[in-house]
Amino acid sequence: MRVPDWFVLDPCAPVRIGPRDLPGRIWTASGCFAYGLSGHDIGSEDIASPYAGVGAVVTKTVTPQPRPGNPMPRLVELSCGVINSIGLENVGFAAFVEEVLPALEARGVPTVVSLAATRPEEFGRMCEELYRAGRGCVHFHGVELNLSCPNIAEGGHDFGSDPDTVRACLAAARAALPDRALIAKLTPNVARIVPLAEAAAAGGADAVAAINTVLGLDVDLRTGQPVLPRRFGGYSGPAILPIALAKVDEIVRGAGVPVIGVGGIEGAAEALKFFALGAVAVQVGTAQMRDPFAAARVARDLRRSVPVAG
Amino acid sequence: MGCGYGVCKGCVVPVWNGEGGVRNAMSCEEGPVFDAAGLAWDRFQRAPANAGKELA
Repeated sequence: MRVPDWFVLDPCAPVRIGPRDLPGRIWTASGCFAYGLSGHDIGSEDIASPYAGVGAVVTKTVTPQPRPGNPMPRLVELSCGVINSIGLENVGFAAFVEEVLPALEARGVPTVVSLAATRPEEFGRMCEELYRAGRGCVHFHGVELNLSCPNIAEGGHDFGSDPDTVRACLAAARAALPDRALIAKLTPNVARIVPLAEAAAAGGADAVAAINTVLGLDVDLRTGQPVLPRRFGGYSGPAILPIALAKVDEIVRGAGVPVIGVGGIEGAAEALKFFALGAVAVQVGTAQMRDPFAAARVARDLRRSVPVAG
Repeated sequence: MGCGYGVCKGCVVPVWNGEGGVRNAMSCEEGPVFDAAGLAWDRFQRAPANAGKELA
C-alpha cells in the first residue's frame, strides 16, 4: 500500500515511553509471540527476520507461580478472528527471571515483560525483582501489567474493571520499578474505559495499551455445548479492529495518557488507523499466529514513507 | 492448531514427563504424531488442578 502523506513518523526511530526510549513503534502483542525467543532462525524471501524493525516484544504473560494453563481445546478459529482460552500457561516468574530474561538480553530482543497477578503487592514484588535482575539489561525496556485477561476463572471478580484496583496495581509497580516504561493493558469489556485509563495514569503508568481481547463464546452444534471447556475466551483478530479503534479514540480524547493501540492489526493499513487517532505505538497480535513476520512487515511497509537521509 | 511454530500454546497435549508427572507438549513442535504410551490420556479435557483458583 501507499503510505499517506499525513503519516510522517519513522516507525523504527526511538519512541519515548516514560523513562525509556524504545527502538520503534511497531511491537508484538503479549501472548502472540511467546517470550521473544522463538522464530530467530527463520527468514523469508522478502524480510530478514520476524524481529526486523520490531520496536518491542511484549512477552507472554508471566505470573508469580508457573501455570499449566487451561485444558484443550484452547482455540476456536472463526472467519474473522480467534477465541482463545490458553489460561496463562507460563514458566512462572522465577524461571522467567533466571532463564528467559538473560536469554532475551543475549539475543538483543527489545523486551517489555507482561505480568499478571491477583493482588497489587504481587505486582510490586515482581517489579522489585525485575528492578534487581534487570539492572544490567539494556534491552529490558519495561513492563506491561495484564489487568484484563478474561480467560482466567476469578470467581466472578473482574480484576481489571475496577479503577481503584487498577490504580493500586500501577502504584505498586511504579514504586518498585522507577526506571523502566510502565504500561497498563486495559480490557475492552467495560462500559467506560476512560476511568480505567485515568486510574492507570494516576497510579503511575507511562502509557496504556488498548485493547485486550473481547469476551467471546462459541457453541459446538454437535453437542450443544460451548466449544471451550471454560465456556468463555478472549476474541481477537481482524473482527475487533473497530472496537479497538473506538476504545483508543475514547482514551486519547478523554484521558491524558499516551496510548498504545492493539487489536486487529493485519498489516500497515490497520496500524495507520491507530496512529491517525494519536496512538504512540501499536502492537501486532493475532496476525503473528498466521504470519511470524506480520509485525516486521508492518514496520517495513510504514518505513517506506521515511525520506532517505541526505 | 493456532500459530504452528510454537508461540501461542494453543495445541498442547498432556504427556508424561518421565518423573511421574505431566507436562504440556506442543503438537506443532513435538507432534503432530505422538507415541500413544507417552500420552497422559486421563488428562485430556480435564481442567488443571488450579482451575478456578487464584493465580498465585
